[in-house]
Amino acid sequence: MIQAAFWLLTVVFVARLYLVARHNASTAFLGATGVGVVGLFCTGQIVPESTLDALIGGTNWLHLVRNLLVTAAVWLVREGVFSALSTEPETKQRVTRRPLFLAALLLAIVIPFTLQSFVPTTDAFIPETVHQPAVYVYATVYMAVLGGLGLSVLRVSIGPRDSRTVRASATVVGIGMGLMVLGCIDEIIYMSLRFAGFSSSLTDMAYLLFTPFFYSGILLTSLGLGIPPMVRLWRRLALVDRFWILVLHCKFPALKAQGERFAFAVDVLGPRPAERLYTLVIAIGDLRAAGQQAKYSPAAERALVLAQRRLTNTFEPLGLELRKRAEI
Amino acid sequence: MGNQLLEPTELSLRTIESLQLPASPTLPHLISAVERAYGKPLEFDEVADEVLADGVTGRWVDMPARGLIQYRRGHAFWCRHVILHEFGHILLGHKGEPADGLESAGFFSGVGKRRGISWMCRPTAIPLEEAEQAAENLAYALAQRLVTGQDTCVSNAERIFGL
Ligand SMILES: [Zn+2]
Repeated sequence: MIQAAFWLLTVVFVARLYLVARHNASTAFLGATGVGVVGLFCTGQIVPESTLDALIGGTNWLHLVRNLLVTAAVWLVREGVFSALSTEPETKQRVTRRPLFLAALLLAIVIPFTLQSFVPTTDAFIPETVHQPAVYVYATVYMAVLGGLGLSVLRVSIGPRDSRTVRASATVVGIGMGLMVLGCIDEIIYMSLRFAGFSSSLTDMAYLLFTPFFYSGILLTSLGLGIPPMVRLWRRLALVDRFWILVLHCKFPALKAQGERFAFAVDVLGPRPAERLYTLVIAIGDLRAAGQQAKYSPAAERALVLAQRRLTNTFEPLGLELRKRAEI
Repeated sequence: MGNQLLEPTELSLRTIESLQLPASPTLPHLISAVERAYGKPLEFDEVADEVLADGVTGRWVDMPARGLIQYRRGHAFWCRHVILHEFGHILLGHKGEPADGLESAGFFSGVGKRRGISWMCRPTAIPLEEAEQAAENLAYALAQRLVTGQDTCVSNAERIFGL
């Protein structure tokens, strides 16, 4: 799951990099995915933890680095979600949205970490060292910070939106954050039990639950951040529009007699396919009105009806719509 | 007709701007806006093929107290475009020709007064004369607002999310 999250996030990061460069999208989300990629890279799933940790002293500093990166990434997700979706004006100046606040959070995680008695690299850092008060405080503060940030994103991100894509994206991010919060709570329970000296099936279960909660949360958050770039690509490709342009050209060969020689290829592959499809549908109607082709084959008729349905955003009969007026 | 995209002219864009349509307008929004600009109520009438001359897809009949838009029977989508074309004439303040062609169809038997009645048509033949071209251009620009341009306006939230 961690590997899946890593690769998904890497793809999303590249897509977002493009969107920021070309279309002025949020750099907060770009930063979040970028920092998240590095954070997930440090989990030991891609390159063994021991190899990476050896580079910075071999005493589990990698654990701290990774957690600081994840905290920064979640803070950036929160920053993006808040600036996009928060409607309250005062949230713009909220203390928790200042970079200095992030620095304070990171410092609160770093200080207890440095107070531990360091042990050599281990991939079970928490189970092996959580009996140390410094490690217990370090990890609990980290989980509490992450849980708090995740919870605030969850609260803002769920709800109706004007844009369906924004809603889908925000909802998936929100659910991801919710799962991450559950993971944080679970981990705090686990560490507290261990710190207090309990060791039972309950602690084992709490230990096992963390990864599915936490990393499915990260996975969903990555997926949610990836939805807008995917929708954008889908719209850009406009395969459905192009498909209908192709069909109409084939079913209404009379169009060809009137157009330039390359109209077919240009139409199917050219930019602004929705407008091309519209123009094509109108041209076919004009042909009929001009009496040049009074009756088309049933298959052609059907194609025309379906192509029009693709373009129409109302399903009301025209006669009915023409009798209506709307306030402007 | 070759499928060359009609780029909205400066005039078309300015005209649409002046309508002050909402962000995602519907046909009823547009009708209200055109009636407001026109200053008279509009009526719409689907007519059989023989009512309109060959090659004419629709017409706008400007009468003292109201306007009538007739459109040839066809697929609703195409009829909508014919109506948008007539809106183009109305919004561009075209005057139209005296309604000579109308009498033969027996259409104005009840109106009794020919003075002040004029009509414009949407011929299917290309090239269109200047007024027809302007109306057709505006029709395409209006269609873009109504149909194909729906997802081109991007809200702040959408921009931040990367749409
Ligand atoms: Zn005309």
